[in-house]
Amino acid sequence: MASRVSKIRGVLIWLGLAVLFLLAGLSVFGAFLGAQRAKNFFNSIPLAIFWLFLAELLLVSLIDWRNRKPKLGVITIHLGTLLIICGAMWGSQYAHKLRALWMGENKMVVGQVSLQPGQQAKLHDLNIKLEKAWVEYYPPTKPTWDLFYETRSPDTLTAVYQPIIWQVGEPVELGRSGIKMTVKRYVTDEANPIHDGQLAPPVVILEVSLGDVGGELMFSVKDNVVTARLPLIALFDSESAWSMAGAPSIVFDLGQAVKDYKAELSISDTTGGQLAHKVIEVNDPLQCGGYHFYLTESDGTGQNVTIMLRSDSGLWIVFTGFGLLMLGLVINMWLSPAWRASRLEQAVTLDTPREEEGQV
Amino acid sequence: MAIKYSMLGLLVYAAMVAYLLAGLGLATRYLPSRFHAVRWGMYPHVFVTRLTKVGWIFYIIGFLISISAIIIRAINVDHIPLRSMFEIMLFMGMAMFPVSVFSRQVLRVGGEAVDAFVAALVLFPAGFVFPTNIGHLPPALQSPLFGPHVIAYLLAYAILAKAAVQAFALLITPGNEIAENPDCSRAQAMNRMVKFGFPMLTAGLLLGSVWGKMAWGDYWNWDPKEMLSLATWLVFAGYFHMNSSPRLGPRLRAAAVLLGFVLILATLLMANLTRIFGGMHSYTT
Repeated sequence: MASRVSKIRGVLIWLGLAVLFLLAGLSVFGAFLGAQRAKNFFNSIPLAIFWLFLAELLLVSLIDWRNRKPKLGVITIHLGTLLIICGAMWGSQYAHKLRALWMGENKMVVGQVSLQPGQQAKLHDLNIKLEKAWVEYYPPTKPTWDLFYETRSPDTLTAVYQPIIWQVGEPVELGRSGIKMTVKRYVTDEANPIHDGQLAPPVVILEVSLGDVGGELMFSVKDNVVTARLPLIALFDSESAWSMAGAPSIVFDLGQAVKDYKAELSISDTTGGQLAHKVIEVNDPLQCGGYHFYLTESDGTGQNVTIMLRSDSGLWIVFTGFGLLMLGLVINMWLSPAWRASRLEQAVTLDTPREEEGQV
Repeated sequence: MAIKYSMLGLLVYAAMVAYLLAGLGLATRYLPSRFHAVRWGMYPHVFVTRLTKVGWIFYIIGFLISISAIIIRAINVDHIPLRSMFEIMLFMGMAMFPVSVFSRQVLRVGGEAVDAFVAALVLFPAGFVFPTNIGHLPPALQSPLFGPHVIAYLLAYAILAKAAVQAFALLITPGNEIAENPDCSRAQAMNRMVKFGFPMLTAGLLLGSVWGKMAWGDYWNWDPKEMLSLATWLVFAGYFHMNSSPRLGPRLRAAAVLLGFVLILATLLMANLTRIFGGMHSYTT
């Protein structure tokens, strides 16, 4: 009987080793696939069977410990790992579909909606209202604007930026467009307002020309604007001619980095009753009705915001697994050897140090 | 590759020199005793003890210089300086000393000479390769988990690098004993280091996972760097399972530790420095 148990245990350890190294190899393979393809690969049917097998192996190993001297740390590690796998499977797209089919659970895994301030949208029995949205910036790192020449491909509308190396009074040609630009004045002096204080510095006075057409432009922006675009439509006969020429524009960039995106969000049910209200930001989502609501995208002004909601199914099982795994490792690898060493120091003359190669 | 003439650059170079001198001083214990005894007219143990002490003094100086560099960097960038590869290498250079001291005093594992050389080696790219550009923290990195996640990983890497050194020595040398640690075989030293580092590696992985949930909506995003760090974790988990099988001797286990270390290098460097592994961790430039 004892040898049979020992054989089973041996098989379990070898299976565990094989599964661990196979999964390590698949993970390296997944790293080369890129995030989306790796996600599809690890959620495919063969891999789902593999996850089930791994969960079963962990379960069997836990049952097997009934026949051995119990080791709290090791059992906790395996229990934690089992919970992580079970929680992840419970929260997967397949599990959502199966629960909808068998249990009638009506819950989406992930969804997203684009909103402007004041707008609301219905997403799966929940009304999401964006009260307001804004962007916070770090202070500017330099006093003057960087200038870029922007053109867009007429087919794809993809923007291409070329930095404009400028000095006051020196004409510069923008790309190969034939457009010439001269920065005539660059006013940064706060005490010297332009046009009787109507324009606040920084103000850039430019002379732009294309062939015989040209003129002077004065450019100033309001506070808290860190990037602005000046379309050079006036140099062309019509807007379509300007578009055909690649929509040439001058972009002014103060080089301020985004500090945070914020959005004030209200969630209500179908009857209009408010369920939650919060200012969300990156790293601080709103939790409501079995979902987390995230601010995933925002333009530079906060006028267009994308809100994503994600199901929380299985999340707390996974997080409990994380806690147990960490606790088990600390017990098994730090506390237990420390406790053993302290006992050995007390009985150093009576006992020799035990071979301490760790076992799981 | 460029020399940095800034205050920070000079501190990095000074720390490198101190670590190199520390490594040389601490390495004297590996020299044959007759070499120095004849030349210096001293008893070998006196000579070695003195040079080892000098090595420790330089090791402490190198640590103090590198921690000063980290403080200056933190003041300059106004956040925990762990965002860029320059900052990460600077932290690794600093972390080797406390890891060495803890390993010696608590785990009874030596190898400080190699640690000091490793500290100088990791400071090399900080001094000559990676730029010191100051960048603001993007919104996603402004999390209370940013510091703990990165620090747990970097400490784990430093500790597991020590384990890899023991594993390498175990593979290339015929004996399993360490001259400087009579109470500890190489296999035991390797095992103690892996047992010390593995929970930290796990903490880094789990903290990153919780942070991923808060910032990006999922605790696992299948990002290339995540996949490589999972592979690393699985190899070290496999190492512990190998310990349970008497058929798998210390050399095979040492090979597993070295494989884990290769994956650490891939996770730390390749994911950030090559275009093969793009992803959400690629802003660490």
